[in-house]
Amino acid sequence: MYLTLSSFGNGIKREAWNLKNILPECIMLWAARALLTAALLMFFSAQGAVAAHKILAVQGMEARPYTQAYEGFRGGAGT
Amino acid sequence: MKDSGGVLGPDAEIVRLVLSDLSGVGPQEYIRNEEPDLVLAIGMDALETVENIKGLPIVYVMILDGAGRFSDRENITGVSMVVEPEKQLEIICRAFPDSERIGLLYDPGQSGEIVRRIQEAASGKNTSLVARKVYSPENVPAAFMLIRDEIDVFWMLPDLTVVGPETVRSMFLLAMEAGRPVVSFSEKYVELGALMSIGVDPYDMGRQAGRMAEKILAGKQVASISGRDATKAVITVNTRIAEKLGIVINEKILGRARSIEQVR
Repeated sequence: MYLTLSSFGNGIKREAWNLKNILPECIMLWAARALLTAALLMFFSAQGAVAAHKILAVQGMEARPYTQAYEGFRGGAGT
Repeated sequence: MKDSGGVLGPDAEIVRLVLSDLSGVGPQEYIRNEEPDLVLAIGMDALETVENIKGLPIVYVMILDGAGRFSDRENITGVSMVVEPEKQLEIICRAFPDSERIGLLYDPGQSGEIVRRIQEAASGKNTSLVARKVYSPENVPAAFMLIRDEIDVFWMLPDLTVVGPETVRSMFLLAMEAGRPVVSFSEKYVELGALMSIGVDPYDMGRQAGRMAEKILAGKQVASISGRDATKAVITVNTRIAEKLGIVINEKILGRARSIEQVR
């Protein structure tokens, strides 16, 4: 009985010692994983925001100047 | 018609709606169903159709004096169908270097702000403005008669009180009688008897509007982007009228102008 309890106690001590040694590495791994997940989420949400933009170009009728203005609008950004 | 490219790169979707082609569904219902992030209104019909849809950023183009009419609307901005008056004055002064007196007729309710800007720009030049107010189209010929002997050039503004089929005809006749050149805002009037027009370039106005849309979709408040005038001027000259009036236009201006020889 004594031997059993003693070995159990030793086992607990050994596990605690192991845990103490590996804990900082675990925390670092979890933090790195969380950071990577956040960065990926931000990247893909930014991509999604650009792709989601929808513009409705409304013109009263087909007329050359209106169509030219529309064509200019399409080429307007980033210039 | 669906399209992509231009504004915010190839992933942006641009849906084009021509109101006269729409059948079966009301335009406002169609626009709501499309759930756009921004509407480009091309022309007054389009703007009148969309202007009351709440919460929708709207950029207009091909609208006369949009900046004045929609300055109090927080969700509307765009490019007016008029070349910056300061730039027009510069072109007129360069085209007719010997002409010191420029005449204008205007309805203060319509063109007061434009005339104020012209007066401000003229104050720094060797040019005097003879600006006369008119309040109804019937008064235009008489008002023109009063100023025509005091001016060297008449500058016809896009003022709906001053410019109509009858008033334009009488102004051109009276100007021709007195040997005064008319500078207009549209090529159409150069074909009818004006000596020169300083008009807009629809493609370039569209580009200006595209840059505004890009800023709005990037998160800038519409209210912080004020309405602008067209920055690019397209000059057209009627060479036959120039010959008739014996007027020599500055060569640099003539070099960048489109020439029209006929008079309708």
